[in-house]
Amino acid sequence: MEKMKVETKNSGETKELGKLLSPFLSPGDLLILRGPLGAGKTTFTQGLGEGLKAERPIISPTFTLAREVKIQFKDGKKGLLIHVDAWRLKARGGDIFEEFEALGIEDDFEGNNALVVAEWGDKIAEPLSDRILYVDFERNMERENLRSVSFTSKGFKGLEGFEKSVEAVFGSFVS
Amino acid sequence: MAIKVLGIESSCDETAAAVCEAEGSDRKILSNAVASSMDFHARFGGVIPEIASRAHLEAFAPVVRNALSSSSLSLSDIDAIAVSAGPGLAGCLAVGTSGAKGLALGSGKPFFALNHVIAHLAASEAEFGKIPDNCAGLVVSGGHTTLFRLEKFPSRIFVAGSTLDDAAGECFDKIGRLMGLPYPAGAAIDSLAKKGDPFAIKVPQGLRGRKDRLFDFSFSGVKTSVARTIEKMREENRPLPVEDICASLAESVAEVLSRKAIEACRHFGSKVLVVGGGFSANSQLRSKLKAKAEENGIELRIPSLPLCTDNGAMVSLLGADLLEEGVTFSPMDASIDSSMPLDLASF
Repeated sequence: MEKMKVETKNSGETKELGKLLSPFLSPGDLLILRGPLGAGKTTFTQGLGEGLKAERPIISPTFTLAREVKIQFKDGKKGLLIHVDAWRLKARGGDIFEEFEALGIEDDFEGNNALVVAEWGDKIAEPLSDRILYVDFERNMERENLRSVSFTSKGFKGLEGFEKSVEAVFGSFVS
Repeated sequence: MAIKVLGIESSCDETAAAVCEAEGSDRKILSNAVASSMDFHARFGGVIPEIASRAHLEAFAPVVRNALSSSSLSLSDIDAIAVSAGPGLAGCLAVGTSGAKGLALGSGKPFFALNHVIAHLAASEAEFGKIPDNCAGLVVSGGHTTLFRLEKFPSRIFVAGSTLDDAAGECFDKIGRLMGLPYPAGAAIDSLAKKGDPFAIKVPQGLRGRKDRLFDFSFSGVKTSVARTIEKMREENRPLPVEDICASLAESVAEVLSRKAIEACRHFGSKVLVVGGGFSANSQLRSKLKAKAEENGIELRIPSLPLCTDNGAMVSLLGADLLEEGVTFSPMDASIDSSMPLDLASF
């Protein structure tokens, strides 16, 4: 199981999708979110935050480039969600570990029970983990609120369990 | 007796230092020095933390020296040193805060590590004097969009609402990026908007009618809607009406910000609205706030343009307020907090 695709009808469903993924995430995982402006990357992350009992609301990380929020994983383990907007870092073509150092982020993610969610993070955030889940968001030109969301695993283990819970809530979907 | 406070600011791309003088409710800016590294960041479409931190390191001493010499004062004449310790970029905050601690230790002067967003409200005091009791406050910038109830500034202030997703300035920057405008896009959109039709394109107003979210904002829907419009036009090979897009965007954002700010005044029974932050330099927002405030018999206290963007004067003003109120000084081990919360304002 390496790939799946879901259609969401509105931002509420995109958020729900994030919430459904949250129990399958563990410390050290890296989520790379791709898609155009307004496709639902931050909305999806808000769903993750809800599912992971985030201590503070998830808002756009663009201004500070990274926001750290305390969370709780499914097994009750306390941890950290590091929410990154990598657009600018990528534009500069820098090294992700150096950029994190400048932002004051500890790079021992697994040891710190941290989960990294990097918007626009492809081709820069990959060195952070060998358990990567790519989440691609597409807008629909015809129907304003429709989004298709694809999940592609590169060493991420939880996709199978996630598929079952998506099926239970969203019914059948393109996979 | 008049007190003098040195304020230091380094939370983003501006290294700034200023000295203000406070006596009773009067405030006077004696000097206001600033160095910006924006030119280095513009080509990356946003401030790069590592570049900004290095620039702060280089600019810190000259900027502080400039602020002191142009007010014809030396450190020994200063009553307290204030610095923005958050929110902002961690590496940048660290430079200003460490520098301020060094100055405080070396001169034996007390020190305040304070909240940058609250300092944006204090900026109004340069031109309007001390913020009176029971005001409403609005801070709008590239990173923040928050409405406050200012029961007694600065010690009793409460967050009434905030953005649930993007900040207003961020929404402008992202749409600017999509239209190929230079970063930061605020000034470009502002001037293009003056030539366009503000009702040419339908732009939603996030959370406008939501009774349960009376003082919260959402600009993510605004961004998505304008992005869709742009993409559709490109798809159909139609020329992009950039001026109309800017005008419609500015109209929608200014309308929702000013409407909610005035609503907050009404709700709190406030006769004064204090505004601050980089986005309050936006001319569409300024004229809308002015018109709505006049209509409702509310006094609008919005700083002149140089005091809207990040500056040292606002930090020194907030420092003077704290000193006058007898708030306990910050300990030397006070740490920076890149996402410093606003609800406690940490005083």
